[in-house]
Amino acid sequence: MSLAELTDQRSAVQILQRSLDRGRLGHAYLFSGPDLDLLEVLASNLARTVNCLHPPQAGAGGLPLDCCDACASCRKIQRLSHADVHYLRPESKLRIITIDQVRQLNEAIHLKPGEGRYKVGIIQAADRLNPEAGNAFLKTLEEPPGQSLLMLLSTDPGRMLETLVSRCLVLPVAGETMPRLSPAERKLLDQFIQILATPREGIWTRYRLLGLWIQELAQVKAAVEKELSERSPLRFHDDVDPRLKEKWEDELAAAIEAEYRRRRSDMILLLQRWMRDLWLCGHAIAEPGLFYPELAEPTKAAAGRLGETGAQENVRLLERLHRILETNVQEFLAIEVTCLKMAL
Amino acid sequence: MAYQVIARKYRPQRFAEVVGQEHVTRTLANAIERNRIAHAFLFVGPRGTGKTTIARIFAKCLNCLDGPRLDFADDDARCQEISEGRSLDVLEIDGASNRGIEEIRELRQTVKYAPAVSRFKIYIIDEVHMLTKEAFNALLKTLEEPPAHVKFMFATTEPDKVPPTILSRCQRFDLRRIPVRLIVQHLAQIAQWEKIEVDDAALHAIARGADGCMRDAQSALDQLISFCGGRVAEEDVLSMFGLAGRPQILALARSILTGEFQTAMRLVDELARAGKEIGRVMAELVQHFHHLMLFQVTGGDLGLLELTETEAAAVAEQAGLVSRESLTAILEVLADGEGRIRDAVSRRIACEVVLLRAIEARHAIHWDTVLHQLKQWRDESSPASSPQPPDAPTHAPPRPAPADSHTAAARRAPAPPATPLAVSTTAPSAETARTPKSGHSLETLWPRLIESVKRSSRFTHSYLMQAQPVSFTNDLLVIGFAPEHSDTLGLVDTPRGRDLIQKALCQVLGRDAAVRVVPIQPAAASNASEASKADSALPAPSDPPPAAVSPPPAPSAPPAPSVPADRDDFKNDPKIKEALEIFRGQIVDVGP
Repeated sequence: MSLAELTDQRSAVQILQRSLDRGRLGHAYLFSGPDLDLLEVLASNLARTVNCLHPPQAGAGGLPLDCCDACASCRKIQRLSHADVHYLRPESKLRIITIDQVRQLNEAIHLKPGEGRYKVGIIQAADRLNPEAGNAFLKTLEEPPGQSLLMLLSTDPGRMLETLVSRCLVLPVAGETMPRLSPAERKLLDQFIQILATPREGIWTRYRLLGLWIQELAQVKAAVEKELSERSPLRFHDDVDPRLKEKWEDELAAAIEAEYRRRRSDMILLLQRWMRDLWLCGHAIAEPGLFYPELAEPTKAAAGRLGETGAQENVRLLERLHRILETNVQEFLAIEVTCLKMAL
Repeated sequence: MAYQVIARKYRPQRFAEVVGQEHVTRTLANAIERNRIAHAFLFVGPRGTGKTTIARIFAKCLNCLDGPRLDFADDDARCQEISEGRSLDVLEIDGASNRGIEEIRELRQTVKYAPAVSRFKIYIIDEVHMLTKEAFNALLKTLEEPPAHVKFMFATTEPDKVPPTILSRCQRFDLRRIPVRLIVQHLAQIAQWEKIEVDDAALHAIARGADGCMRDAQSALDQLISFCGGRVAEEDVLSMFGLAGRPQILALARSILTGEFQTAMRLVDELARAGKEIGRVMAELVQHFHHLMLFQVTGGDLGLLELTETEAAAVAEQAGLVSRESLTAILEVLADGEGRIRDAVSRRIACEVVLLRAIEARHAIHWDTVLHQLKQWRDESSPASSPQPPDAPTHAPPRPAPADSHTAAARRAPAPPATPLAVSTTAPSAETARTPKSGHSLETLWPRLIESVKRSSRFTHSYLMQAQPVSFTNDLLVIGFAPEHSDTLGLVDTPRGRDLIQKALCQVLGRDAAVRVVPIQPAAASNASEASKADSALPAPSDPPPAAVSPPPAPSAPPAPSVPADRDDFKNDPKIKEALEIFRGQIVDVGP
């Protein structure tokens, strides 16, 4: 994919291309937008563009305006194996970016580029930099050596240190596109709706809901474990130094936990959005205003049952669940309490 | 040479070029002129106001040839080294990445060596607040009495994280936020250097958005030049930084004031699609309502407010729409919501909830008014106590209408409280229910019963907290559970639960009494009683309220427990037999 293909992000791409054209590419960008994956696509594209070997067009300043997406450099970046493109992702168990990760990046940025024109640092979910890590990045972010390009991606720049934000050129990327339901999400919501629609059997309804929830989370966890284990170097090298092996194992465990937390959070957000639809149904909001218009019918039926206060309370409960799950709380208990308290 | 962003390219190189910090630069200049230079300096201030810049310039003044002096030559070798960051004697250290005691120990090792070529050995530690406690303490002795050739300069945005022992050893300089006027002047200067035409209005828009921070303003200008090329107009600024939301913010405020929830939702949707940060929208909304309040309080004085003409017109118009009380209530809700949205996971949803509450707050009546009104009613009614109005207030259950939010409750309060009282299955006449012969009224009995239950079973007590007493007639206490607590009903309505409550009741009364637990319909109190008169078999099924999907308990049905008669049937039921076998149980009691 090249920059030109990012049609939904036209305005952001235009700004970047004009900067390239005028030879005024900044050294630090903050891409903010609702969808982290999209931000990463944009960042990866810009990284490919500045390092492209056969750019289709070049600007007046001599910088390429887009990537060819075919040369060795582009393909390497696509496969995440380019020596000059560094990624930082939240990897610890609490899903934060640690100071050690930042120090490694600082070091890499201060070296000369190995194979490309630009050294690129891409920080995914920059709002997950903890205060130590964020502060450790300030000096590099303000005045990196020449031929460096740093890109911070965040869905929530309000949570970043303002000293970090102030050092970047902030680029809002695309408006909110309404989230589309994936089949798996649809299935989950359908099950949820079904439980809500069945006649009430006292407290058992709540425990059935809890059962469904826990089961779903277990599946998510299993899926994450499988995915990440397949990518781990542990699978390819079985005769390595025990210490290295241990390090890889720790890294894998942390990555699994971090990814699981992210998906769990997505799942709760899904429920929260649906509850919000349900709540708005009570206010006669037109269907385009809903997150999930395809579910309008069952949503309306459920809205009739729960009433406005019930739905609003549920939104609040899910919000709270979301927040306490970020801490060290025991997952099962937190979800159980939410199930017991929810208006059904 | 590669392109440098404006903020780096035009970093001031002399004290005279530093914008808006004269109180600091003059002090430092005087110190140099009189040769009274301290050995440790601390520069404190918000982001982008010039801390690091001043430290670097000061280092140049100290180390330039024939110095220390202010007017060092541009081509001074020492100064150029410092600018390029390769001076042997000016060590700029990133306090945030080198924050441990080990790094500070290494630094102390080098302190004692004389400078290589310059007059002073200068340590600039940026982001000094990130040093660990141990590191700070390791630095104390050196910082207090360093060798004569050593100067320390610290820069930080968070002085409260620096221990007082460090603060007291430094000369502290507080940098200010830069006023809009100066930012505009400086940006205009830069535009001239860059040979760019920029509207005055555009510069003002940038400066206002920068919040007193020069670097933010320069970054914005930089991006605008990239985007627009040689000419920058106000519209470009507005569209690029989403400041165009102004009319939308005004419309949103209007929809709150007029109570149009749908319009508000549509506007939020538009803003979200335009990629505007919800937190910022909220902040601007709060600011707008603050303006409205100021406008009302000052009686229409626009002098206090820095507003454009369109804004002023909107403020004047909207301020007339609501009373001051409502405005305060809305502002409270919004300000409270703004803080909460910051932590919310889904900001958009949180924002929508806050807007709804703000709209509700429009009608809010302050608690004082409510209390006043209630008191007035009480005073009116108490002299004429004999014709006690047959209305419900005295009969109100301990947990009245389910309060969805306190504002909503406040809104409802002045109206005579609707009694969500239920349908007593035995259908005693209302008068008998309220005047029991025993001398125990329902209201006095209930708290005592709860107390008594609490002593024997905490669990049952907690269940009862969700219940409401319905009636007490002929030594039969009917306890009701609203539909939202029907889960609890199942837990109380067991032989053991009833037994326990009954015992407690007997204790309180000092004689035998019976207990029954029933579900109740909150909203259907009056309807149901009418229905029971009209039709004894079924409640009027004409249009059940949407909230009641679970079948409403037949309010007028004859008391369900025809227990003794059914008992044998029950025992003979094959399923029951099987259950008894599996659980090796026996039937003690058959409940309704």
